[in-house]
This record gives sequence, structure tokens and C-alpha cells, in this order.
Amino acid sequence: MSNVSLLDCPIEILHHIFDYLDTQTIFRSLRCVCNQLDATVKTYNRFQLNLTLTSQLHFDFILHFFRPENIISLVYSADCSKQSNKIDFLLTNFDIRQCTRLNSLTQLDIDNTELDRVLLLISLSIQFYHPSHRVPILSLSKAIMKWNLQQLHLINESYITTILSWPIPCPLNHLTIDTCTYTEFMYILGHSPFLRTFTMKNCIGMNSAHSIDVSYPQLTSLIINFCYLSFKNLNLLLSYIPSITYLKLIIYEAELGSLFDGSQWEEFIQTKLPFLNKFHFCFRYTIQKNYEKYISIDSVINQYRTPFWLKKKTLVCYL
Amino acid sequence: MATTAEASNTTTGNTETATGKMIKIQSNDGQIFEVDQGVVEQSSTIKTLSDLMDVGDVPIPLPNVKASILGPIVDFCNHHKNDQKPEPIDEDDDDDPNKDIYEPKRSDDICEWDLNFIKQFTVPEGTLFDIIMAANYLGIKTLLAVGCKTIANMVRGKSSTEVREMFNISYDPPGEGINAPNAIEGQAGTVPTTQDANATGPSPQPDPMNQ
Repeated sequence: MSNVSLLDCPIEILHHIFDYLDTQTIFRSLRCVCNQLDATVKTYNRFQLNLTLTSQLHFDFILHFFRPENIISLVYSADCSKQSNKIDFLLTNFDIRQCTRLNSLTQLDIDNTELDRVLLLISLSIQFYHPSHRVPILSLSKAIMKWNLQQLHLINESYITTILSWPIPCPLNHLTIDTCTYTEFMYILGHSPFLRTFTMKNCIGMNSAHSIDVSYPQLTSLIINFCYLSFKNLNLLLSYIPSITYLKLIIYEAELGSLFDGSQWEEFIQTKLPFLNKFHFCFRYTIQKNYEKYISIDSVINQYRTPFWLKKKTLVCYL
Repeated sequence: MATTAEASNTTTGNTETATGKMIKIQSNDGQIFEVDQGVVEQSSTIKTLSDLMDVGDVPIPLPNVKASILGPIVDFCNHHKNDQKPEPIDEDDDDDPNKDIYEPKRSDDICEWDLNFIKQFTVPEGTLFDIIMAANYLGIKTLLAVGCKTIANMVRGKSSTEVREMFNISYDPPGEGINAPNAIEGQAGTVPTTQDANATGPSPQPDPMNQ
């Protein structure tokens, strides 16, 4: 039996607990518990503020309560009229230059990027829902080099022309983009010596005749979220990145073709991807029982129940 | 009088084993545990002390941890000593490709063994905080993370009132209660915290989200 309670924990432990909680919970559940936790919240300096989820009333309260230097991550949006009011309020009352510890900025559908006002960033995420919104290319290019940006996520936006105009070498180690072409894929890898994680929607324009003898060992994780590549083209793509340890594929296929053949994957991974230790393989397939080529899901899954998959590789299959 | 607990498969004092030199550590109530390098490597405090001191067969004293907590900690470290070590650059999961860029650190990824391990420590008995503070003192990041995630999971979705009930905390109006300014100042030296000057200020403002 011990008499130790939560309030006996050192402040660094309480802050460590806060690291696993969203801002709303820190406010709603903890701040009003007692004076000591209120003071502990006030000294916490790793807040990750998501202003897209807050009401106008709470938004005013947050701006009043938060000290900008205690914010390390900021998400805000202007994807509807109500949000626009909040953004105007934010930009008027909240000087982003005072966010001296800010390392991650996420903007949703915002034209006025304010990027020039941000002192330093590690991660920049820009997401668009409306096709009319664009970030000025020059602003983005300057930002990448100015901050030596490590993570860039451009969601719902094909930015390849921007990528092609970026200074070389590109300092990014995480990149998320929309659909890219085979040529662009090769260009990005060829000019991004620090790139470790590459997330894309799909890769198009591939032809096995393109095959060249080159590899990019810097890349360790590849995620393709809407993969429509054939097994042959996918193999070609993966053959350029033999050092990957993590692969995630989300596949939409009308038929269960060679892409789902576990023995083909097993042979390919053993010969071409020796370092792969985690393979998230997600596919969507409509089962038509009356179809003459009907294949049961069990028969597909059974291909991944061999010792290779069960003992050597972590395979997570989603149907 | 000190007693020796068997904390490893081979407990011949100060011997060389397949995992390296055995080291003795001593809880604040005198119990001695013998651990191998696989355990030592997980605790930055024990590692530093064993590197700085040529301890030989003398146990390293750990004055902030009692045997009832140190024993399970040794079990935890023994269980995890063969875990794959993350590359230094992956610290804090920054390189996790599955990490949602908008979210705080995940707390739903505690493995089953760790979940069962942490269940033996409870809030009413205070042992959950004992193990967290011991992990912090010993510099065992993985155990500290498991403890903090457990608390975070308990708090998430609860109201302030529920949190007070869960942790047996009394609400303290300004100038009263165990957390009143004078009380907090009175705790100086017993609680290793550096409270902000604002800690002695007025009660928390009402949260508009609770209205």
C-alpha cells in the first residue's frame, strides 16, 4: 500500500502524460480538476492545437489562454464561412511569429499561407478541399530551404511541377503527395538524399521498358494509398528501393489477380526486399458468388499463412 | 539486513554470462537484485552509475525505489531485453509512417504483456504512481511510456469531476485545500517539481466546453 497520488508526480511526468492527450482532454478533463493541475497545464509547452475542431466561444478562450510559445503544432482551416471568420480572428489576434517552438503547421484550404511569418518549422502540411486554393509555389520552395524542412504533406494536390522546381538537394525526409508519374517518382528519389518515407496516392505512366539499373537506398518506407499498378509494374517500382523496411499498399481491384498471389510476393520479397519487416496489405474486392471465377477470401488469405509470412514478416491484411 | 532476490536465470554473483557482466542493485529497503547487461542497458540511471562506479560486487543503491516496485521493474526489463531497439532517429515515433500528423502520441499501442504487467499496479493503492515515478527515476523510457499511456487512457473522455473521483483529488477553491498556495510551497523539497508562479494564482477559469 502506498499513499502516492497523481498530484505527487513530478511536473515532467504530468507533462509526459499530457503528451498522449489531445488539447481538448487536457482542458476538459484535467485543467479544472484543481489548482495544481491548472498550473501544470499552464506550464505545459508542447500543445498541439487543432483549431478546426473548436467552437467560436472556445476559440476565443483558447487564444486568451494559450501562450504562443507553448504551442508546437498548429492546425487551422478555412474550408467554410464560419471557419473563415475564425481565421480572420486568428490572424488578427494571434501573432504566429511568437510561436517560437512551433515545429508543425497544418493548413486546410487556406490561400494566405502566412509562411513568411513563421520562424521555423520541421513539418508543414497543406491540405486542400477546394480546387481554387493554391499555395504560391515560390513561397513553398523558399519555405523548404529556409527551414530545412523535414516533413512536407501536400494532400489532395498534385504538386509535381513544384517539386521539380525545388532546390537540389531537397532536405525532406517525409513526403506526402498526390498521384505522381514514374518519371517524377524517379526524379524525387534521385534528388532527395534524405527521403525516408514517401507516401503517394498512386504512380502512373509506368512501363517495364523504363527499367534502369539504379537504386535509392535512402528510402525505408513506401505507402501507396490508391494503388492501381499491376504486379509487374509494382515490382519494377519496388526494385529501385531495395532498403525499405515498411510497405503499405491499398489496392482496389475488380479481380483477384496476380497482385494477391502470396507465393509471388514471398519470392519477390525474399529476392528483392530483404529488409522488409512490415507489410500492410489492404485490398478491396467485391465477392460475386455466382461469378464463374469465384475465389473465396479464405483461399486468398491462406496464401499468407505460410511459415514465411507467419514467422519472418509482419503482414497485416485488411479486406 | 539485505536479502538477495533472484532476478535472472544465472545468479552467481558478479559472474560473466552470455549477456555480459552481472550487476547488483539494491532497493531502499535493502533487497538486492542481480541483473544482467540486457536489463542495465534499459535504465539510463543504472547504466550511468555502473559506468561511473567500479562497483565490483557491491550493490548499486537505488534509494528512491522499494523492493516491491523494483522486483516487477526487473521483470519488465528482463521481458523486454531482447526487443528490437529503435534507431535513435526514430525517437518519439517521429518516423512512424502510420502516425497521424494531426494527433498527439498514440496511447492505444500498449502490447498485451505490458497491459497485463501494468494491471498489477493500481490508483487506490498508489502503486501505479510508484511504478511511474520509479521508471522516471531509473530512466526506463519504455516503462515510463506504458505508465503514462495508462493514465492518459484512464483520463480520456472523463469530466473534471470524474477525474477527481478517479484519483481521489479534492477540489480546492483559492487559498484552501491541500493544493492551496501555502500547501504547495510547503511541499517544496518533497515533490521534485518546479511549479510555475501561476500555480499559486486563482482557481481555474470555467471551461467553455463544459458549459
